[in-house]
Amino acid sequence: MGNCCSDDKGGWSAVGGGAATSHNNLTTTTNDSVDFFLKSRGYQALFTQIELSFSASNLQDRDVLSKSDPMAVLYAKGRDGKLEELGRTEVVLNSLNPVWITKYVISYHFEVVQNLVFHVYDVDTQFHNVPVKMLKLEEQQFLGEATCALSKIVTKPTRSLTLDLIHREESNTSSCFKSIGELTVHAEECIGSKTVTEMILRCSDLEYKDLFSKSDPFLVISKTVESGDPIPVCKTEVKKNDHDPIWKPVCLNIQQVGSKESTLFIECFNFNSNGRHDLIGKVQKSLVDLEKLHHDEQGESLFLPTLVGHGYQNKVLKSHFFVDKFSESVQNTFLDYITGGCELNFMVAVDFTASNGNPRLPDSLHYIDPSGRPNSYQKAILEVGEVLQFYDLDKRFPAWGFGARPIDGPVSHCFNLNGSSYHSEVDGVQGILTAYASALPNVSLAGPTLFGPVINNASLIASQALANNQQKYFVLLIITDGVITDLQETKDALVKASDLPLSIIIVGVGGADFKEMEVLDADKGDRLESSAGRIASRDIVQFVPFRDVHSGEILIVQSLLAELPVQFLTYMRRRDIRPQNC
Amino acid sequence: MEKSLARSLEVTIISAEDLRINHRSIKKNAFVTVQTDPNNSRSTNMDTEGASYPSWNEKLELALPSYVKHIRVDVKCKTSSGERTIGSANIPLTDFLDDYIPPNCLHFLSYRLREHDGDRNGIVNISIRLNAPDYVPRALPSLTVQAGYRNSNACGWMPSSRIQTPYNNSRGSFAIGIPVSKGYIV
Repeated sequence: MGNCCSDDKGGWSAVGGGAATSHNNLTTTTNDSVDFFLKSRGYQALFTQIELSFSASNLQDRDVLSKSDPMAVLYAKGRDGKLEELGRTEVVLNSLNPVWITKYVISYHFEVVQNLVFHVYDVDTQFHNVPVKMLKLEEQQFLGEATCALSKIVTKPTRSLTLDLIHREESNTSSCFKSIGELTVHAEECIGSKTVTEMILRCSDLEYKDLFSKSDPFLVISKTVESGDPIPVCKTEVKKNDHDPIWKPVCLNIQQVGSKESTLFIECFNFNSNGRHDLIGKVQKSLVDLEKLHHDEQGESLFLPTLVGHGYQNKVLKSHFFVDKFSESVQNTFLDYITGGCELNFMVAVDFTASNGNPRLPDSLHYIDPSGRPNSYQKAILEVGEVLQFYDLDKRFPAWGFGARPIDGPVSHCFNLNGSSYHSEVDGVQGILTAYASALPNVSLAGPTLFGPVINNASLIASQALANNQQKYFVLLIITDGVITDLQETKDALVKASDLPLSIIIVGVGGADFKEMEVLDADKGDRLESSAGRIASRDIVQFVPFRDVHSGEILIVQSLLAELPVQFLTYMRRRDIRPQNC
Repeated sequence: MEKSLARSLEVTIISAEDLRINHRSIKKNAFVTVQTDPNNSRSTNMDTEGASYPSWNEKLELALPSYVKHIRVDVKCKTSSGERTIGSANIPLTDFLDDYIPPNCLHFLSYRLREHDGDRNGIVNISIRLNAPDYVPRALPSLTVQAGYRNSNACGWMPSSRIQTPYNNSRGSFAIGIPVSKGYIV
């Protein structure tokens, strides 16, 4: 019948089933090989699956005889402003404060601003037998819309964000701005993916299966699926001639088994080299049951399905099954740290060396176009800053310039962009742009191009947070034309910084040869080595040529910040730093 | 600042990478010896599983006499013809005493191994922490004031060479603790 209303019990599943699938259209590239590589090293993928749930309150009543029958529609807003529908909730009957059951799973990409648009409609009674997917939205009554970036929801400590609904026509006319309800979006990271259980399993008094010797037992753990046979997820090693075997620890990812409550078959087999292993016995337990077994320090009798007459009966054996150890650990994600209150702090350094060209000439990378068209540096600051400032709470960025000479001074390799001699911080992306524009006419571009002083300054700031035991992580953004004078000097500074809570993102603008920059980005070659033979203890550099980004479809930030969560997690895990409030 | 008597080091040998003997990757039985001076040395167990990428994760405690300026890490391998040194690294104490991170915090350090004749070999990854109850960490160098390109309280755009930190000075104050190549004996 395809009823779309949630009041009809179970009806929502017919509706929600399709909508609850993940949608990858917000991402243009998901590099499977990269993800696989990272997972093999124990990292989460570069994105996190987030489950969004929706509720609304104080909606307008559009129906005459009853209350509104609201439905929410979720869109992704592209960079060109186009809306792309991601999914719809079910219709809740007669409610001005609906709580929708349908969830939407979305891939949360740290490095992309994922703008979401929510529309709420009142679905007329005449359409109530139509599946929601088939509903023509233009035939429905519009109750309001709301917009926000996904990052705004997930960075909330409660992971819930309440937005005022507005009406498009009304919002244009400033006069009538009355409340037409609120929409609350709640984001929940899809659980399971990060919880890992480790168990030590043991059996006692196993039965003889071999003729001349004791059995050679091993365990197979399988999960149940809705249709078909159980799927094995885990197997232990074979214990030779052992009727009281203790196997090596078994690790189970909750994601592998579905949930902690789902039933698992744990079967004990006698190993036969011909591959026809005999079943010694089995138990049927969920992870919750196993945890309880461990807690109560009790054994569970194995049973063996035996043919009795026409059916199987479970014959209970004298053998027992024990859980000697049960521990759960959480592989914390980037998000756990961010919502736990770990601060990301950004710093910016702009290349003012002469290789950028005379800023008064249009072919210079620093040319300020009177028409207002942003130059390469301004574009880079804008696009990268847009993402970064979401994660920097105070939105105050230390901003420096390097490689220029103040009107009659000597060349400086790290000067405050805002011109102050006391503080380097500026307010927000606009602050960087303003400082950049005011610095440009007041310095003369010079050389050589040295990154070292800027990196050392950033290192000092990062180390002070570490020494004060603050949970902070720093990101230095260097925007440069990539022509570097002393590569070794830069490497030395990077090697020394590699043990700090610091990542460095280098954006290459212009058309120069970026080979040296590629060398600095360790994932594209060997690990960085200082002149004294010390080696970077981890990769902290990400290099992105700006022109690649412009010619192609890839969003700059996507390629820029793709490595940051991994670099961040490497640092946190190595030092065994756990997220706060966790 | 280095007067304390009971200084000791907690060195964790984490792993090594790409170990070779005569340009061929080793199969097994790599181990590491750390020494602060000829009387103070400790070794890890042999790694049997990691082949040319062995891992140990073994914590070694060593006394650190006050005159010591380097600690020496030798990566060795037991072969049929006896023990062989694959490569060595000399670690200047400044790498973790004068670092951005206080010495009593864990430092994760990696070094290139050099053979007897100076040829490059693999990499050794270690972590080091200084145990010195009465060690007073040197105050971190305060953030060097970077001069602006103008005087902050000037209303016009008066350049002021007075506040400009010359390149040489600024580099000198930033570069504290960068490993120096003199004193690095191969």
